[in-house]
Amino acid sequence: MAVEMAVTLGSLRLKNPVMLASGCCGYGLDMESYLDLNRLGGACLKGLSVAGSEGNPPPRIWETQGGMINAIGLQNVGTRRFIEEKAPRLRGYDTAFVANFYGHTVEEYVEAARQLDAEPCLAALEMNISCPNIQEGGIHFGTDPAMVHAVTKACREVMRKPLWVKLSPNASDVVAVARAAEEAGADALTCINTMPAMAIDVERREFRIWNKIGGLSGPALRPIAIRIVYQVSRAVKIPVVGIGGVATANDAIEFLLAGAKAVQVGTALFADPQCPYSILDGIEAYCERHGFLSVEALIGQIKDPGPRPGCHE
Amino acid sequence: MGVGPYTVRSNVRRGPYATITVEGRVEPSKPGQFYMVRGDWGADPLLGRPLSILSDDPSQGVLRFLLKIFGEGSRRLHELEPGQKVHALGPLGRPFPRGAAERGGKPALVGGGVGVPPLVYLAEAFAREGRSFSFLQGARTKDDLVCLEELAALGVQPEVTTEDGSEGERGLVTAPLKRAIEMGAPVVYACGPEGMLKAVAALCRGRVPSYLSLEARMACGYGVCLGCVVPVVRDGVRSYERVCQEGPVFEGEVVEWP
Ligand SMILES: Cc1cc2nc3c(=O)[nH]c(=O)nc-3n(C[C@H](O)[C@H](O)[C@H](O)COP(=O)(O)OP(=O)(O)OC[C@H]3O[C@@H](n4cnc5c(N)ncnc54)[C@H](O)[C@@H]3O)c2cc1C
Ligand SMILES: Cc1cc2nc3c(=O)[nH]c(=O)nc-3n(C[C@H](O)[C@H](O)[C@H](O)COP(=O)(O)O)c2cc1C
Ligand code: FES
Repeated sequence: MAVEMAVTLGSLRLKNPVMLASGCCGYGLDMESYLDLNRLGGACLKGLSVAGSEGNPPPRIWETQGGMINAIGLQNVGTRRFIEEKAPRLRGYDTAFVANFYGHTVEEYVEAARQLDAEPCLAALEMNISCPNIQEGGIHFGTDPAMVHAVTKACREVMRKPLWVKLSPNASDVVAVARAAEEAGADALTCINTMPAMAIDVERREFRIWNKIGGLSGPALRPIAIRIVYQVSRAVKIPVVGIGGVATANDAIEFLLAGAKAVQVGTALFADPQCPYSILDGIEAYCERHGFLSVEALIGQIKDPGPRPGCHE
Repeated sequence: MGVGPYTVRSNVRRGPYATITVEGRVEPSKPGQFYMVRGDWGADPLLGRPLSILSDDPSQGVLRFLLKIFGEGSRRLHELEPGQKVHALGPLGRPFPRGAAERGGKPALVGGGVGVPPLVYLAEAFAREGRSFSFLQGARTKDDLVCLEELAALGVQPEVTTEDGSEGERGLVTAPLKRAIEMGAPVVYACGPEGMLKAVAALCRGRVPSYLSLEARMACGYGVCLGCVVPVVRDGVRSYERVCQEGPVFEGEVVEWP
């Protein structure tokens, strides 16, 4: 029995539901020696801004139990250099490249969206409204439904490609933020970005990371991401892409059952750049074992007992 | 590019140090390159640990590392037993550039602690080519001298300094290095603690090219996370470069020290 692995997210068809996460695969090209990108559903590239960024001073990362904290500071070459130097080398691939982008103001978001929308190698754009690393940026947009509505609408108006909005787990009401993005014209929602976190070296009484606060990623984040995917996918009509601690096929299936149409793999690539292959094989085997003819048939198929008193959906 | 899996053939421990030999499919490497190594232990610790290649033999499919316990990851690697599986990704990074060594005279290889293994590998390459060089090893005390057997097997007599005088010359490795430079060393290769590298860079500046292998915390080791950067200044322009990709070996002249 051949399992149909393709999934559709609005107008965009992915050959399978496994993508690479932004910030964890460079500009895609850096993965070439390890992974055949054409075997993946797609890849979200490192977050871009119009001006680019040299990023934060080191130390930028710290490992924690079942996860890591990063404060890279969104180091990137800027949209123009990306389009001139990187994008031409992505054009030959048969996979969905998604440009992740951010700004410090609505105008910066709009300008980045406008420039990237014109790049033919990109299948969609993913708006980072939630990166907790830049003091004045991301997090403020992502926690406030009105701001999210404004920035999503402004970008949507200047673009033709699908616009994905990547939500922060740090919003007090993430469902309200999701609804605001949907109403403003988002084509899909990516759940979730990293969770603001901190670690301290007790011997030296110093912060582990230069920026003091960084974003927690990896398996430790997964239960939070699953909960948010479940809540958001029930609250909106647009597709949800699940992300946070996916390392194995079971992790990915957990997201699909919770309601995600696709998953992204981030931190797990660091320990094993080829883990997307085993995730794909495992999803296919699971579908065969459970009699699902397609991945689409599996999405949201958790046996839901209905409302529970302590569970605010 | 090897992505494992490998099997531990032997793990020879001496105090906090361990010489670990693994077998599997090994790609050709050059001195100064490293692997990201983890045991087969699930998600905790999550990330590989960068370890320099001490020696390898692609034809036999073997790879050797020298490890010292620092924290949890290295402690778990220290405990590996023969037959256990490990994941190793590599060889990674840029090796020691060899051009400057062609100029004649004896290159100086300077190592301290877990910075010694890549220089042993470099010494092995020089020895095989019949090139003479000097090998300087600095340590706090006698017990922190490493790879002495490997060096003896190569017929290399290291010049040793210890801070407490328990072996060799008392003091810092910069003292014999200064003499080596005065004797006409055409190039200096160094790997060791930050303080040592900083002193080596200062000593070499303006006199002789130095190539330093730096350490940084790493998540991926292959260039995608941007977690491992160091500030460098090239042609007056300051930027962050990745220790795992543009490094780990940098010209002493470009490194900006904290
Ligand atoms: C290119 C390179 C080559 C190296 N070669 C060797 C070698 O041959 N033998 C050896 O014993 N050690 C070597 N090291 C250092 C070794 O990687 C660290 O000692 C080790 O990662 C510490 O991990 P831990 O879990 O024991 O310590 P912890 O302090 O618990 O580690 C926490 C985190 O910090 C990172 N980290 C901590 N200290 C260092 C450090 N000094 N360098 C890099 N990452 C660090 C760890 O990888 C981990 O992600 C090398 C480092 C680099 C960058
Ligand atoms: C080193 C690193 C860099 C990241 N950079 C970005 C980024 O540029 N833009 C973005 O939207 N998310 C970024 N993220 C967040 C990831 O895309 C992802 O949302 C998060 O890490 C959770 O997934 P994971 O547990 O699979 O890593 C980054 C994460 C890491 C670990
Ligand atoms: S360790 Fe990830 S870029 Fe160097």
